[in-house]
Amino acid sequence: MSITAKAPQHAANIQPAMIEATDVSVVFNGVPAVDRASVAISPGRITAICGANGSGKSTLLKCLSGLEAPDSGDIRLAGQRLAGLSRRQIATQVAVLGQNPETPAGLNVEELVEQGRYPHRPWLTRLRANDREAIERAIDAVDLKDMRQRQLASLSGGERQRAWVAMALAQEPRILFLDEPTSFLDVRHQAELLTLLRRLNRQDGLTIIAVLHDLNQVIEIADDVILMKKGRVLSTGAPADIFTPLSLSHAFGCKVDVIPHPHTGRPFCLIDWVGDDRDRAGDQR
Amino acid sequence: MRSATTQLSSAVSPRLLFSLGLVLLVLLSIVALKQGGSLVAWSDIVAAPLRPETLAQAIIETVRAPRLVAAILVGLCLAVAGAVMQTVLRNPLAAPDILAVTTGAQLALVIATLLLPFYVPGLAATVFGGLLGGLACLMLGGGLRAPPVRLALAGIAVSLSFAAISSAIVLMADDRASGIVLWSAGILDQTGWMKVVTVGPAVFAGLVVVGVMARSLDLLGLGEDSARGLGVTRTVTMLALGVSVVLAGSAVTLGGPIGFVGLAVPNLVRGIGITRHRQVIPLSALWGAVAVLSADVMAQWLSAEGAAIPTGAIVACLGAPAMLVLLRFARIGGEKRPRPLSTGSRAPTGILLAVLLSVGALTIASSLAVGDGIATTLPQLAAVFDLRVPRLLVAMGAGMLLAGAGVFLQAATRNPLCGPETLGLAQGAALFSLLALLGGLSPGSLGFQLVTAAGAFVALVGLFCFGVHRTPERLVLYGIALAASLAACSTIVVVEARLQTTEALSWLAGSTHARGMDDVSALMPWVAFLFVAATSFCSRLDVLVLGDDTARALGLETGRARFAVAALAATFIAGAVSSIGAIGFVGLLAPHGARLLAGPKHARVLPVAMAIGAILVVVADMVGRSIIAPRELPAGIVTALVGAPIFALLLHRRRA
Repeated sequence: MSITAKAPQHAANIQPAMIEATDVSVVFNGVPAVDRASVAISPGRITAICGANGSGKSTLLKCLSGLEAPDSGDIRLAGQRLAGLSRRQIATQVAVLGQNPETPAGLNVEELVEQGRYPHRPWLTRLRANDREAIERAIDAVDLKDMRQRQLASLSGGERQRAWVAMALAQEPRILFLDEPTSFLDVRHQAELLTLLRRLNRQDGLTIIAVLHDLNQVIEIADDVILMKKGRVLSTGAPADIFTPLSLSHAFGCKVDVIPHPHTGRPFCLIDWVGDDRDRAGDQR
Repeated sequence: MRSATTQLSSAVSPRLLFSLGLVLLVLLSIVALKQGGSLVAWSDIVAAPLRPETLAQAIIETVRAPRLVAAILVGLCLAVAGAVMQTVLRNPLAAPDILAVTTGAQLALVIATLLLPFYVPGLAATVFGGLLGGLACLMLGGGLRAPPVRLALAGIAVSLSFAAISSAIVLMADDRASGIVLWSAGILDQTGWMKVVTVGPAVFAGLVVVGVMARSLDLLGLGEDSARGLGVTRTVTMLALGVSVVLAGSAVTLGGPIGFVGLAVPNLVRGIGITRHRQVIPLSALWGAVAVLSADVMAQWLSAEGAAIPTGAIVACLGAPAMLVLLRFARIGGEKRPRPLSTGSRAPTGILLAVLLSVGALTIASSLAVGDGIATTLPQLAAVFDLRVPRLLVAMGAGMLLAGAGVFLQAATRNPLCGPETLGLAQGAALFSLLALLGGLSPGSLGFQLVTAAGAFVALVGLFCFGVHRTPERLVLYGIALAASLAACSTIVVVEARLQTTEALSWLAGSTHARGMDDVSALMPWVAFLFVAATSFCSRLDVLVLGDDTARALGLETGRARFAVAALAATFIAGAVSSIGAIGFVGLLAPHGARLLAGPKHARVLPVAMAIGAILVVVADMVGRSIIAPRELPAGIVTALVGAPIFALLLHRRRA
C-alpha cells in the first residue's frame, strides 16, 4: 500500500501488516459474497472499505474482524492465524462497532462501557483498578463524562454512537472496526464522529478500518481505501490514487466525476444524482 | 417477475381446496355419527334422513347429530373469528384465544352457571365475557394500533388470569376436581339440540355480516390509514371485531374454550397464498370445521369406557405441530424485537436490599403463622411449625429456581416474553414428571428428578431444533403452542390413566401440599447449583444481551454460551417442577420485576429476581391454603391469579 506524505509519523515505521487476508471467500447460498479477496491492513492507519450495496463490504469487514469465518482463504492477525485464536484472544486486540447495534433497555452509558472490559476480565472477578481506568479513559475520549449516568435510550443518535465507540475503546484494542458508523447520523454528528476517529488514530495510534458510504468522507479521513465490487477487491491504495472517475463509475455503476477540491486541492467526488435529465431544479432561469 | 406466492396459489387453487375440505367434512361427519358404541350401524346412518323410529335413530338424533353440528359450528366460528381479528388488527397473532376473548367468555359462563343465583342465557354470558376479555386485552395492549407482540402479550396475560379465576371458581364450587378438566379443556358433549338451536341463529347472522364485509376486510388488510383513505370507517372496524366476538362467544357456549383453531387455520389459508377475503373466510370456516371435527373424532376414539377426553385437549395437542408448519411457511410480517421493561429510575442498592429483606421476613413470618386459621401465640405456632417450615422452604427454593430460569431464558433468547411456562419447558417437565409418577417413581427420588429434567430438555430440543427461533415473535408463538400441546398431553394422560384427578391436577398446577423435610433436602442441591451457576454466568449474561455481533466482538462464543444458558435454565426448571409441579407465572414475572427495581445488570437482577420469585411462591402458597381452608387452592392457580394482574400493571406502567 502506498504511503502518503501527509502523515510523516507513519512513514517512519513501515511495519509488517497488522491484518493480512489472502484469497478470502465467503459464499452465501451458492453466491460468493466475498470472492478471493486479498488485502493487507497496515498498522496505525485509517482504512476505508468502499463499494456499492451488496459488494461484500460488510462481509469482508466481519471476516477481517473475526466475527465470521471465511469459507476459504487465510486471515492473519499480527502474524497469527485468526482461526487458531479464541474469541477472547481476538477481542483483546480487535474491537468491532456493528451497524446500528441494538441497545438493551435500561442500560446507562457507564454500564455499557463496562461491558468492553469483558474480554480482559478473568472468570468470576469484579472490575479491578485497571478496568476502571480503561473505562474512565474511554468515556473521557468520547467526551461523555457528563452523561455517564444517562440511559442510552435518552441519548441523541450521535451521543449513543459515541457511547458505543467508548465501549469498543474500553476493550483497549489495537484495531477498531466500524460498519457504516455515520449512516444514521445527521451531518453535525457525522463530523463529530469522524473527528473523534481521526483523533484516536493520530493521537493514540489506533488502527481503524471502517465501511464508509460517503466518498468525500473517505477522502477526508482515510489513509487507504479498499474498493470493492461484487465481492471482488477492485483496487487498494490511497484515495487520491484510486479514486478516479473511471474506477468509481465502474464500482458504483453510476456517473462519478472527480475534481480538485476548491479549498484543499484534494480530490472531490461529484455524483451525477439525476442522470442526463436536462430539466434540473434551478436550471431554468 | 412471479413471486413465490402467486406460484403457490396457482399450484393450490382455492376451488380445489374447498372441494377437498368439503369431501373431508362429509367423510368425517359419517365417521362421527357411526363412532362410539356399536348401537349404530352403517344402515342406520344411510336411513337417517328418513327418520325411522328406531333406537339407533334416537341416538343419532339426540346425541350424535347435535354433537356433530356443534363440532362443525365451533370450528367454523373460531376460524372465521380468527381470520377477521387478524385482518382488522393486522396482527397474525390475533385469535379469539390469544386476545382473551375465549377465556373471557369462559369465565363469564363459569360465573353465570356456578355463582349467579338466577338464570342467564349461555350465549349472553359468553358474548358479554368475550367482549370484556377482548376490551381488557386491547386496553392493556395499547388499542387497535398496538404492535402485534404487545397485544398478544397483553392478551395472554389477561387470558391466564381469567383462566386462573375460572379454575378457582370451579374448584371452590365443584367438589369433584375432575370438573375442572371438563370446564377448562373444551368438551363437545351435547344433550339434545338446545344449545345448537339457541346459538345457531347468532352464528348465521355473524357469518352473513362477515360475508357482506368481505370487501371492506380486503381494504382493512392494507393498513388502517390506507383503508380510511379508501373510505373504510372506524364503524366497520368495530363491527368486524364485534362480530368476531359473537362468533367466539358462540363457540365457547357450544364447546368451552377450544384454542388454536382461530390462530392456525386462517394463517395456514393465507400462508398458501390466498389473500382475498371472499376466499379466505369460506376456506377458513370449512377447514376450521374440519379441524375441530377431526379432533372430536379422535377424542371419541381415544375415550373408551367412560374416560372422556376433552376435544379441546386434542386440538391443543395438535397446536404445536400446526404452529410449526405455520411459522415455517407463512409470512408473518412486521416483526420487531420486543424490548424488556425498563425504568429510568432505579432503587439504590441499600434501599432495595432493605425492602426485599423486610418483605421477605414479613412473608416468611406470615406464611408460618397463616394457614387454616391464624396462629397468634407461640404454642400455636410451635404446633404447626414442623408442618409449615418444609412447605415454606420448598416454596422458596422452587421460586428461586423458576425466577433464575426466567432470567437465564430471557437473556439467552434476548426476548422478554420468554419464561419457563411460555416456552413449554415447565409443561414438558410436568408431563414427564407425571409419566414418572405413573412409572412408580416416588416424588423426590433421584430417578424422578432425572425423568423430570429429561422432560424439560425434550421441550428445549423441541423448541430450538426446528429453526423457528430466528425471530423472537416466532419463538414465543411456537413456545406457547408447545406449552399448550404438552399441557394437553398431560390432561390426556390424567384422564386415560385414571389418575387421582385431584392430586394429579394440583400437581400439574403446582402445589406444596404435604411436603416434608425429605423434599427440602431433595431440592437443596438444585438451589445450590443455581447459586453457583448464577455467580459464574452473570457477566456472560450481561454481554449476551448486547446482541450476537457485539457479544462475539467482545469475545463471547455466543452459540455455545446461549446453549449453555438455555440448558442451565432447563435444569433449574426441572428442579422446581420435580419439587412442586408446574407453577406458572413466577419465572416470567420475577425477572421483569427485578429489572424494574434493579436495572439491567445481571449481578443485581439475578439475586433480586430470585428473592421476588421466592416471595411470590410463598405468598401464593399461603393464600392458596388459607383462602378456602381446609381445602387448598393449588399455589399455581394463585400465582396466576396474583401474577397476571401484576404483569398487566407492569405493562400498563410502561406505556404511561
